[in-house]
Amino acid sequence: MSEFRSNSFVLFPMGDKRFALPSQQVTELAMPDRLHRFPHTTPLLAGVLVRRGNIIPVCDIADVLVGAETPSRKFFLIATRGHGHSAECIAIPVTGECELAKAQVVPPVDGGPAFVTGALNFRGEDIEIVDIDRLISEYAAKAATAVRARGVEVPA
Amino acid sequence: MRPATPRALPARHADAMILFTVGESAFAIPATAVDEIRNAQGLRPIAGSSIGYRKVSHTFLRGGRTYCVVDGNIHFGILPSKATRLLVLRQSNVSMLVSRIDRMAEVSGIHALPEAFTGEERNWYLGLAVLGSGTSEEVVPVVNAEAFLSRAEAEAVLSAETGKRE
Repeated sequence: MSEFRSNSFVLFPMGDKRFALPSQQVTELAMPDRLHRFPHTTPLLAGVLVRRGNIIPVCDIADVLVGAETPSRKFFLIATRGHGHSAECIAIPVTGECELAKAQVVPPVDGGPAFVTGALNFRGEDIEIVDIDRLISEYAAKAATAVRARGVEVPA
Repeated sequence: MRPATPRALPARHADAMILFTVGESAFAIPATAVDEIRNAQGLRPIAGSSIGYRKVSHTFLRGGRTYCVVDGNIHFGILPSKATRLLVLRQSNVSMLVSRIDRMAEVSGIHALPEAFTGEERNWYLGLAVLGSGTSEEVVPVVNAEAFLSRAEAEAVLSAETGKRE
């Protein structure tokens, strides 16, 4: 039986590359909004947005996906992220407009990061599917390990 | 699983908040948590951090009682900045050194800190307050005064300081 599945995805640009999120996870693409920053210790979080009276945390994953040289982010892709039995919206800054695509999913390449759960071939372009929850947890675990290695106490 | 956004905690009534800054960062503290705002004169530096509370930088005397001074920069992990004011907490022997007292504001609801925040900030903040609207809208964390220094920690600092001076 083929492990390939066909599904609907939102393709988002990050620098020269595009990545995919399952479309059911995406709630909207928002115009640039005011990012409110305050001190915290959670890796990847840049601050919060206020959207229709709600506070949305902003999670900048560009460094993890394409490195520090990412061009400036133009939009916020607002997606849902699981937290135990509930889910929360998060805003992901992206570098350009997004596109809705239906394409066949193929398994991820062996040895790639665990947060890449598969790939799409869309109009000749290979696009990795990203599991946001896994990406954030993996990065947080790596950051905590790095902090421990430096001999600093890791926040609980 | 239902998508949710952090909602405002149940609003009882408008809470009076004192807005202050530490470096470039703005914070709010419930006015009921503060006993006095005073200048930063007459502080006695704590020599070394032998008992491990690096954020306690000074002590001061007020009404015959010794108070611990928590450096706001160290507590919130931000770059050192000039401190000019002390927020002395109510029913406590703890105070915080801050850069500036900005103003008072009425806040009618505090939003829960989004669950995406998983670090020390979960202890630092009671939630987030949205002040103003439109282009002047500002999100300010409402600090948890109890997280500055526990009563036991304050007593440990003060007894170590007393021991050093004797």
